Amino acid sequence: MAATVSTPSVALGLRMLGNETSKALRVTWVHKAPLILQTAGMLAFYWVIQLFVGGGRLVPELLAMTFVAYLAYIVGYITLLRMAGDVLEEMYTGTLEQSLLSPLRPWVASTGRLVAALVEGLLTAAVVTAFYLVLFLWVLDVELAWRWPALIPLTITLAEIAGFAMFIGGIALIVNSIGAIVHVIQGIVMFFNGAIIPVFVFPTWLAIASKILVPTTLGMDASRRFLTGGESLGRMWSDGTLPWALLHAAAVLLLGWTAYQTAIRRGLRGGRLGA
Amino acid sequence: MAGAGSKGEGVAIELRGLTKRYKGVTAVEELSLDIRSGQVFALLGPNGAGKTTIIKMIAGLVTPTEGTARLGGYDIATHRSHAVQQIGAVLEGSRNVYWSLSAWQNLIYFGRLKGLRTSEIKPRAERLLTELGLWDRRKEQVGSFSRGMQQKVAVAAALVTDPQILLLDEPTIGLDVEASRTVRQWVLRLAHDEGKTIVLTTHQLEMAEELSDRVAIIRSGRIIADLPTDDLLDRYVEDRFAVEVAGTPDTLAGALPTDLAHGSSSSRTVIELPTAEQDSLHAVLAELHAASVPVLAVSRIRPNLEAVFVRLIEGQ
Repeated sequence: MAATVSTPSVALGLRMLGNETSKALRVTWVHKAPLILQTAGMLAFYWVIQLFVGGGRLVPELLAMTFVAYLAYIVGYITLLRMAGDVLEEMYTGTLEQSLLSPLRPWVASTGRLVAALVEGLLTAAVVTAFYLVLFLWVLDVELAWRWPALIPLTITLAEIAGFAMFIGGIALIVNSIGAIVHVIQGIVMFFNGAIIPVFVFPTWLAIASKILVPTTLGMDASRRFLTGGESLGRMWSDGTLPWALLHAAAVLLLGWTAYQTAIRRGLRGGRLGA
Repeated sequence: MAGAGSKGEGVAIELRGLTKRYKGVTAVEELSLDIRSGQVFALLGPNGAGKTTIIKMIAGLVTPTEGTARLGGYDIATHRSHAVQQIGAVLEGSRNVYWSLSAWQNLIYFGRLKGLRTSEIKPRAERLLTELGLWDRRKEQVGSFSRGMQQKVAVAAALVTDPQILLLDEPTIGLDVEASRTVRQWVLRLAHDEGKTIVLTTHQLEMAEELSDRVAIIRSGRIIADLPTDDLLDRYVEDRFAVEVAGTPDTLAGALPTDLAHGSSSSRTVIELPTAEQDSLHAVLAELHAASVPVLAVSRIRPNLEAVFVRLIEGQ
């Protein structure tokens, strides 16, 4: 038997992306216990934060304005942590180098890990959403008006999370103490993306800085304005909010892809990608 | 130089001027080699000599500072996607496979990683796991296996795509005697029966001597010897004689010269002379003749690979 030498194609790329994603999900599933703890922690954390902000009580108006941003924080938190953790673990165990013995470019394997991390984040967010929807609708009387066009700013937010997670994955290839950096970033995202208090109550300079520098803030502010502020997407498009959010997400995606590619090249030059 | 994808005369791996410097420190310098298809090539050297760097440069896992590596005619730098499909690798100090997954899941994953379809991988995975004695435990997590079994899974994962070139960096490290023997038997079979090209690094020189067709000894990033294994051992043949006689020291009691070193197998005894002087040899042969001991052979003493390695590394 001879080795099959095939030229990479889009179909092959998609197949291998699926391979990478299913592998990452299987590995995640093996470690189920931390997932349950993580989900419970995310459930409790929002409650505690909102009690703190509300001076000992849950404020329905504040919950409606911050909940979607908190979900974005959950997805971002898990995706970033998973990307950094997986990259480090695979470096230390040598499977990262094995994954590089693939006919496809390294970022394809990384995209597979990213998709798995996003799935984990979205599933956790779905459980948290289910719990709080019951609480909001039947206990706290919080008004959440869901409209399907909200998927547009939410998708932009997901793209931004994906780009930023890729960026963090690239940094993890270079900086061993990435865990500390990720935790600081996660704290910044939570405080400034509107998950605790809405961005519009920030001082103007801080709101602008948050929208430029903190991933998910732009998309979450647009989602809040659409879902609870009664603004239309058309208006947000014409006032520049959505184009800017799109551009921002595209820039973060490009930054993430470039950072990952650069880090891989640097790792190969330095022989630092293995155990 | 051959074009992309073209193969030289049975050459599986071509290295030309391969050099690696890390922040001014030269790990590998001006390495040029051709390794033929079906050859077991042992790369030997002390720790830090550059063996792993060479293996990783061949695999495209370390970018050379200068030089090129071609696998099956494909340059690893410019035709990476084709070149890596020629390789299976077991890397030193690594798990190489996912301990959270089962042996079966690992083989399916690594097969797909190289672009194979599941339907192509399954029969190969089944054959590999059966031959390595892992079939009954294929659904168990690799993390629950013994070190030897984990290494077997790593070898199987490297072989699941049926690569033409196998890079084995310390493949038997940490293995028990039986697992090590299994890996050694596999190396011989893959090279001699299936025509695979195998690049092997190891500190177990006895194993290298047993398996390799050709040996390169590397010191401080430079190759100081590169010869077919037999030629290398012949080159360092010692200037003294060994006389092989029938019988064991017990059965020959009183008939053997008492002042000479001798070793024995089940039915033969080898007497080692301290010099190559003809007079000494004749004297010993006369003594044996007088005692009616059957002489089977007289030869120059050939050192083992370990002795040659030590002499070369110590600069003798």
